[in-house]
Amino acid sequence: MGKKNIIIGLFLSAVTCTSLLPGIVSAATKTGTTNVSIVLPDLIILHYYSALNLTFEQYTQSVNEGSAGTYNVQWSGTTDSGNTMTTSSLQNVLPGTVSMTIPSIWAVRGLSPSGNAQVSISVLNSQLVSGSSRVTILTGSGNTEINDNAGHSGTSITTALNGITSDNATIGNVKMTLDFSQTTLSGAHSGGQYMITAVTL
Amino acid sequence: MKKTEFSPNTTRPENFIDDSRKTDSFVFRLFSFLRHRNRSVNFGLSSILLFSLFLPGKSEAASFTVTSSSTLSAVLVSELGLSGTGTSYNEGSYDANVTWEGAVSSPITSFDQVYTGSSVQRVDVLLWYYQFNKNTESQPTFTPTYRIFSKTGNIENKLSNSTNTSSTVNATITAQPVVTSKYSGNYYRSYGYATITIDMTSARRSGTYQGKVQISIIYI
Repeated sequence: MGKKNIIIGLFLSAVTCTSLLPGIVSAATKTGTTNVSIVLPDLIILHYYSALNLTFEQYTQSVNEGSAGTYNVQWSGTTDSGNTMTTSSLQNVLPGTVSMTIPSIWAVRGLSPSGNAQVSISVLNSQLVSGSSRVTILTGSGNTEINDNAGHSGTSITTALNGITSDNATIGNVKMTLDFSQTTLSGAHSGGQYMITAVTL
Repeated sequence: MKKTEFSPNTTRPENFIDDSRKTDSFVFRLFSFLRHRNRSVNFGLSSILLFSLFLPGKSEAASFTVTSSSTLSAVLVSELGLSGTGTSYNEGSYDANVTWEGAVSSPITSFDQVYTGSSVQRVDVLLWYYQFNKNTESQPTFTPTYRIFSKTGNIENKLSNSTNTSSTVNATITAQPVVTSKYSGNYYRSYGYATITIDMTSARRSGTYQGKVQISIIYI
């Protein structure tokens, strides 16, 4: 064996022994990256009022229909001329229909793929009754609608959900038109029903 | 003699972080080196090498493996205190006065929060493990540090929606103690887990939210 081999052999022995000694390692750092993902569900919360009680103001008014004109009255008590009132001649002091916007009566919030929801209103029962007296909820566009204070109105609208917190909820109104043409009694009329539906988009 | 080459990086996963403590590979390479340098290596030297090569449990070096991706379990609406994905909440009665002109008095309205919480937690999220042979290596001490970023990597503590990055959730990550357990034979694994908390108050969309966890481990 030559001298060269001995030197290499000693060197190898030392290295091998050193490498087998446990715990002879210094502090080291490893770094890496892990991609993470999580799925949030579709979620929608619709706030509504189960009862809507509207109280119309009392109304009393005398209406001056002008001069009755000149009546020719006979001594027998018969009148033969002058102005008379007819249903068509009476002034319309009270409107036959009343349109109102009921503010902040519904709200939606939640999560959807687009961040929006479709909110729609439909009238399930248009008649509010008290005996033979009726108040009618007029249906359809322009009569009964919803709006979201963000420029969207109609019987069905697309509106933002704005997330899950109530602080950011979309709060909306209902426009309702009531027809009093068949109303003959004062007091409570009940039975009308509308439905608001919200669907994630 | 058939030529044998040791190429540690060719058969390992892409995210594998090679460790420097490869006793076997070093010996093997040195042995190969000596063969080329001088084919008359003496018997004694060969014995030392063979002894090293056939030590039990020395066939594989310690290694780190970082989990390339982790899909956290999906958020359930029940975790927010809701019974279903669609909830209609009755706010009671709405009483208002109306004039014949249609003016409606505005009652004070406020909507209840309904749900009980807006954040969820995912525990035991495995981020990495370190495998070692307990016969040849003492168990290292690990000090891991984790940071969580948006998918693009420029916003810390945020995850962003995969289809609309403007919708984000707040995310925080906490390291859990490293757990070591027997894996197979003399091999043990030290596991790096974390707890990730997702706060959904800023989320505007449903769907997948993505981000990345930056892992830094100091070990001795």
